[in-house]
Amino acid sequence: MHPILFKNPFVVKWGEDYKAEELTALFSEFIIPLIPGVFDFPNVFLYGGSGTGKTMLLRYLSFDIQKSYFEKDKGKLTNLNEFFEYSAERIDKVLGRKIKYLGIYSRLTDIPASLFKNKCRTEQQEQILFKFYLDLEISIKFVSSLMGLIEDYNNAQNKKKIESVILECVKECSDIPKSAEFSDILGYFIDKKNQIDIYLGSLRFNDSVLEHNQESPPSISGLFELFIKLAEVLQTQVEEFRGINIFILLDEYERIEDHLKIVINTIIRGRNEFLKLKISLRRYGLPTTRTLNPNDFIILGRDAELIDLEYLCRYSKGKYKKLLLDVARKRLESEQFFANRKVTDIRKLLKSITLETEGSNLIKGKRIELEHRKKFRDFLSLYEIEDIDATMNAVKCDANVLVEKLNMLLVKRRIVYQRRGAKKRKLYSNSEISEMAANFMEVRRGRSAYFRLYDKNKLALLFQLVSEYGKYNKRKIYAGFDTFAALSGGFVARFLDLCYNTVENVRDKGFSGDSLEIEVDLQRKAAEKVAWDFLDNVVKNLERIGGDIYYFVLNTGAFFRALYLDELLREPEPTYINTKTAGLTDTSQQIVRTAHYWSVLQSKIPMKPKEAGEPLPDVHILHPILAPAFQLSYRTRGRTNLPPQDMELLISGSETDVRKLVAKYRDRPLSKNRIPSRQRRLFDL
Amino acid sequence: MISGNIYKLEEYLRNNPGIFDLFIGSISFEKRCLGAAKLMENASQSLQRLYFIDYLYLLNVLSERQAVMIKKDRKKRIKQQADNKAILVGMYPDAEFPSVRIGSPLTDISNYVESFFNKEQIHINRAERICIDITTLTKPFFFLIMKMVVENFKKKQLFIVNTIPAQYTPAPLSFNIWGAEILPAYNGIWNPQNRNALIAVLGFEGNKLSSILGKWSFTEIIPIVGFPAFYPGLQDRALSANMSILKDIEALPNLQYAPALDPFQSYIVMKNILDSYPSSYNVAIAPLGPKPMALASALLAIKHQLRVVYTFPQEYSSAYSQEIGESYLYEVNLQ
Repeated sequence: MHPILFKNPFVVKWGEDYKAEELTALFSEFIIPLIPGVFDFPNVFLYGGSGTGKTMLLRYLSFDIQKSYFEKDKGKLTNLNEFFEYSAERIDKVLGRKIKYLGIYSRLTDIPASLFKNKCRTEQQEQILFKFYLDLEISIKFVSSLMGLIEDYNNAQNKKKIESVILECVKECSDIPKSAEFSDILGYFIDKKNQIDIYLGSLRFNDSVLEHNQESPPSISGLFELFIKLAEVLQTQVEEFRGINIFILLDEYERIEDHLKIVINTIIRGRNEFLKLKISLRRYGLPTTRTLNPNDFIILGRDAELIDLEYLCRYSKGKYKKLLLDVARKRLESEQFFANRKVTDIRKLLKSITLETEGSNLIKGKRIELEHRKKFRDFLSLYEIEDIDATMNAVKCDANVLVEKLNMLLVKRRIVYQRRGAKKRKLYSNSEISEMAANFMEVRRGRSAYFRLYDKNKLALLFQLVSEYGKYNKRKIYAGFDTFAALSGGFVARFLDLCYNTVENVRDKGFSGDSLEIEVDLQRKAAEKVAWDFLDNVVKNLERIGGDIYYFVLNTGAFFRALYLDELLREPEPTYINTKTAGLTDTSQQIVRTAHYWSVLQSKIPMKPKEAGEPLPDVHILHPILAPAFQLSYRTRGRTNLPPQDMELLISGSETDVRKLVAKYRDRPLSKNRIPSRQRRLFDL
Repeated sequence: MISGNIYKLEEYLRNNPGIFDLFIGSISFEKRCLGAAKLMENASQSLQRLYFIDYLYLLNVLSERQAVMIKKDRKKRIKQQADNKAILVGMYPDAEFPSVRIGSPLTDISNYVESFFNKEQIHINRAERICIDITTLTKPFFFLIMKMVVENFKKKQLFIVNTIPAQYTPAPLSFNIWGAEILPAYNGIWNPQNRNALIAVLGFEGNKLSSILGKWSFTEIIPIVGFPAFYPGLQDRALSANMSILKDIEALPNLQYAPALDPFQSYIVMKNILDSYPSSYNVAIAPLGPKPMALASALLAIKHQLRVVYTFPQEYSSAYSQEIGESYLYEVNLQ
């Protein structure tokens, strides 16, 4: 194998960092069918963590990108109707309906709101300044987009009319001189904005004797909701804009402080029929529904809809995979090395492995003893089973180690539950187990009880095998497109991260043979690197309480891992916790909220409680991207119900506390299991 | 263009007695805050006015798990600072020791600098030769002082002192991030239609650059490492701390070097980068590296109305540096 020279096509950037030409080449419109609600409702809050594709979507809808697509396919933009029709058709192709629109994108972090505090004495003053700045930002982008739209319009008469409508509107909503021309508008507003920027960058110093005199505060009047009025006049007075949706696309809403969100909430509450706000934010980024009117609030469902992109990506698996395949295809097509070899299907590039093969590989090796059999024999001895050899023979399955593990599990359950006097469970004798396994191996399909047991537990059994063979440096293999899709947890950027690191490993080592399939071990290494990078570089450095969240995650990962070693597998693959978050201390609630905010934790609709009338718990899922770090499952399957006091131990407890938790929640007929971790020892449980 | 000369402070003081009229320094937990003061005392400088700003960076401790450790380190930091203050009071009993407690880094520092200059303007006006010791002033602090001086006292003769430590320990300067923000008074002029570029002067903590890139969008990033560094090998420490993020954002090919001890050369390097961008770019600077390079960043940002972005730490570490190294004097020609 030789290192190969090519550019890694899976480089991940923030949505805002892509140049227009890059975005048009790499963006996949298959994200749209995941969230049709974005177009169904006028005002939308789009929930999603960093890397889910919110910014890419908002930018896709913005005029710059609309124009870039149009010019790439159709040439110069000379006809507005054709332009709007073209954008609508692009949406139609993936959504099945035409949406004509013009998008104005603005990133709220571009407003230097943190500096307002230095210039304003009260929150009300900050709100006034923020509103003015927001008006300026959006109006500048709106006007410049309109200028770009009509710049080469081939209908001179209509172009003039549009210019005149815009100019009249600007004159009505601002203090631009009456003599101003259409071409003066943008410069006028940019000057206004620059004055504010200079003011925000100034220091108060009062001495007229000195050579430098500070400018007095600039006027923050002379502009009032221009972008709102402009949307209205365009749609009511300009033929080309009739039926065109004007989207105001606001990114990073969660980054502004609550008292400033109120300003945006007020615009939403206005429910202007000519304006549609699409606002992106992280989970827990909407802690206020207040408006500037103290007696009025926005109500979700009435004034705006909340669409959870992160959730939809996780639970519309088919659509999400389709999106990932398309994203990967575009990336691979962009790099000649892959394009020339016609390798544009990521499924073919990422070799996958069945659980059975993985299990069989785990127990292979020159110096490897069959640890799982040794442990099972120990178990039988511990429980003083009379004919150990007969039981060993009954469970043996050389052709499929996972079947053998399942047989062992069924025997263990029988022995333990019989001793405990459990009556409700279906328990199998050795001969039944042996027979069911033999039938299964012969038929390998159907809906038999054994098939269901196998299907339900095979991954959990594999994780146990991984632990048992950990001392031979055996690791869980995370490989293949489906696994990467699951690990990404609804985050396109995380999927790209996994692909990027996998391809980096190939660049160092080279492909094996002529095939461009990437070996599963290189993928496994990439997955582990991405997981640890996320933990060490992202989680640990989260603002203010990153350290607390980091240790909370370490505790939780170690806790889950220990539960995997439950020999009776009462709950296969635990990856989430049910608890009542409101029962936690304020500090712990803050840690949990922040962990959700940064998508270290994810949530889902809780399962129905066992007892009627029991309140629904909150669900906290460890982000699956972390699974390879802790050797956990990437599936959201096993739940662990933790009362708040136990959850507190995970959040702020020590190693000893977590050990106690494990002892409480894991059924351990044998207490000799250890967590293997080649990369890093967390702690043994 | 900003230009100037570099001297070793000790030699300069020997050859130029009574050179400064007014001195603004700071008291810190780092021993090196005493460096310039000791040299001035040895050279028997007669100053009209001397200030040692005694600032304490004490943000609310939000971390539950680290609270005990933070409080313990804070106690150590405060004790070290009190010891250093006692030495300075002993050396300069007539000096001013204004004190400030920073609870909110975004407002408290700028409010303090504004009130300090407004209160002391009579004395500052009288002085012809002003020396600012930036050794242990945090970057937000000295950036604000620089802006105040450059904008209001341009005709004064300005000297900047920086004392490097005898040794950097492996400990980071700070731990935990409070947040990435635009530095007060350094908003710059930011055109929403433009693309954004970032000149990132790299320090020993890679997470600080990550925080900035996580908050704002930059289509171009030009990292700069201080080389030659204060001491051989420090450039590698800065590079390795930032390697992962630079690789991720594919900024390694853009990497540039500027001498860590020479703010004037660093200024030229940064100015050349700035000039390479057309007016369709907004350019911001992230001063995360050595102080002389931060001085260059401040001067460039002031002159060209650039935005400065900075990652505020939650807590400084008491064990960042050891003892006192060489002190350098920068004579800055502002006109």
